[in-house]
Amino acid sequence: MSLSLKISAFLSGLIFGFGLLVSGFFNPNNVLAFFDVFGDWMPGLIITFILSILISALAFMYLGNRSKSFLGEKINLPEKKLISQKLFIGASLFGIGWGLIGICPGPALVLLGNLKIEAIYFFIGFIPGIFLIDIINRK
Amino acid sequence: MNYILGGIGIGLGISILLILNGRILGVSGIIKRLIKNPFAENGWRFLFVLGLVLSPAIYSNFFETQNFEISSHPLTLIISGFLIGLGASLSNGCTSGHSVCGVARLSKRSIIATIIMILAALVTFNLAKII
Repeated sequence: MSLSLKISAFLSGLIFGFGLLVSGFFNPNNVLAFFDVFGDWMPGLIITFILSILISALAFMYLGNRSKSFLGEKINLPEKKLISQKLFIGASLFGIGWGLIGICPGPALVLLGNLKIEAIYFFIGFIPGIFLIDIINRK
Repeated sequence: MNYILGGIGIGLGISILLILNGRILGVSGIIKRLIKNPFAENGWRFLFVLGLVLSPAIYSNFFETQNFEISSHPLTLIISGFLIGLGASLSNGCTSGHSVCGVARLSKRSIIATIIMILAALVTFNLAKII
């Protein structure tokens, strides 16, 4: 059972990566062109976004109210409901960074596999960024 | 056509992890917990990231990969990476977790986060372009 879980996690990452590659989402130039609404706007990634949301929604519906996954694992869904100030600030900071470089964490891992030095620079900033709050709270 | 295939790939990757492993595909959370404890819970996070990082090498055996240069300055990449990491940890998610998985399950938090993320990115990009 544990081996199948490992294989499915690997396949999930691989196929998710194929999606980022074939759509061109992994290429920051395309993402920045998607933000360039007043210039040479490339709106095509909207199709990718909507389709990925629809397919994921089908998967959630298929899962329904089951408490175990099809490989017998507990279903772990986020339970947070609170619309907090943290959510607004976090999403804004995220958007500012994303708008500057056109790279978000998933594509950054694909770029790392693509041996782009820029992915290393991204992670030099990203890793302290995700742990900053934990470090402050520990003190 | 590539936009459609891409959406199917991203959606399938999310569906596999959800239906078989019972997990939400949120890349920033996966990276964070992977660093904290690489072998927690069967090491599924390590294998997920391995699949994602190996995807371009496997993909390029069958299909042509876009060739491009990234023009952002290293310092811009580091600062933006920091803002993205901090932002994702404060809002508990990024593009994959909030904008795709969260919106797909109609989570109010994720819908709000997605709208703010995209608006902030649009404003920042267009301001940076003027400056």
